[in-house]
Amino acid sequence: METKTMTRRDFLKTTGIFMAGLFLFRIKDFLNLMSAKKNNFPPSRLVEARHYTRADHLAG
Amino acid sequence: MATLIECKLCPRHCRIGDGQRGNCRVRSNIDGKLFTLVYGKPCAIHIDPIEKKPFYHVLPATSSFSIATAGCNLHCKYCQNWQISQNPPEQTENVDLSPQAAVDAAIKNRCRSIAYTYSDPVIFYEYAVDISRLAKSKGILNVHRTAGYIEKEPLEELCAVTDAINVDFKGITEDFYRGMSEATLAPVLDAMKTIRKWGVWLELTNLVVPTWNDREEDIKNLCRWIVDNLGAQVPLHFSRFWPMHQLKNLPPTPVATLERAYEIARKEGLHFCYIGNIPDHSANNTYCPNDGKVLVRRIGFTVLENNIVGGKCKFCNTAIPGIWS
Repeated sequence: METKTMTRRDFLKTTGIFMAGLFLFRIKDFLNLMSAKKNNFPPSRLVEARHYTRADHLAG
Repeated sequence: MATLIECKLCPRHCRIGDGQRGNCRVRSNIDGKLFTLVYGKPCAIHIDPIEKKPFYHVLPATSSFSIATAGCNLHCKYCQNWQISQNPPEQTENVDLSPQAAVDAAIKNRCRSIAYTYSDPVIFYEYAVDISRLAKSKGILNVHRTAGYIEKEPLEELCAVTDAINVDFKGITEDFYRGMSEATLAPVLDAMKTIRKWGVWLELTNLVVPTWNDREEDIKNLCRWIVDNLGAQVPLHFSRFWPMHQLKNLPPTPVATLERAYEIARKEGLHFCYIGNIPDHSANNTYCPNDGKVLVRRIGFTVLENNIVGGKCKFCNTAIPGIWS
């Protein structure tokens, strides 16, 4: 299969479209959200799950 | 004294000893109570076009605030998101995001829906339900992308606060579910019927995997089951497999295979069929089942043209099922 060499113009065009896309979708807000509140495990407060029962009475 | 717990969220019914976790890796028995370890701790947050979920009959050309936590109750060999689904939360980068904060972020970013997706929202059930209740009160739709491996009682509770669900209808045989996903088929069939019964909008996705579920007979049986049990108007998306995770030895699904699946589905009577992962294919579009005209023209996840007005074909006035506003 023939490969196409990317020209400088193609590269700049692609980069420009990408940057415009970032601006439009406000990626910066999400980066702030992700970095400012990044937290590792474990959580400081655990939430009890629903839909379970004790199983001590079950054999096996 | 250590108490054994039986989780009843999904058909696995994991029996979990003190200090241990269920198969999904994110529910743990701590001193005789079951806790979710991922509540408010998503490891994936994105804004996606709703078409990416995929939902083609729900608020076209709108954005969906999409979240997921670590873990999953299936272990599909082809999982695209295995880095988060097949790892415990200790091995993912998690963010603090309370249900209120999630809804606020969706509103701030003008998202018309919140999507629970990427891994499987069954395993972050409590978190998803709590966000959904808040989102519903604010007029934001709740949409799920799930394997549907969930018990009836929690599913019915979920349906009460959910607007649309896309179920991965992976295959039509128990052997497939066992071999590919370490799960079973019957509960998924029941779940799809329950979703329809509750009136939650349902779309289905079938990932066509070469040598696993691409036989014409299997596809025909799958489509026939949908028509007989769910109705011909349920949209079905055939998705192209890409070598991933534990199936890197297989080739991508040939386009011809997907096109054949599409033809079989139409022949079996399904009104709305799509081919995914091939951006410029004509089967990305929605066609009127009455006059055959293009209702929604798409390229990839981008809507180029929408001819559905008031939930009807603008050319012949046929009602088109879905959530259009």
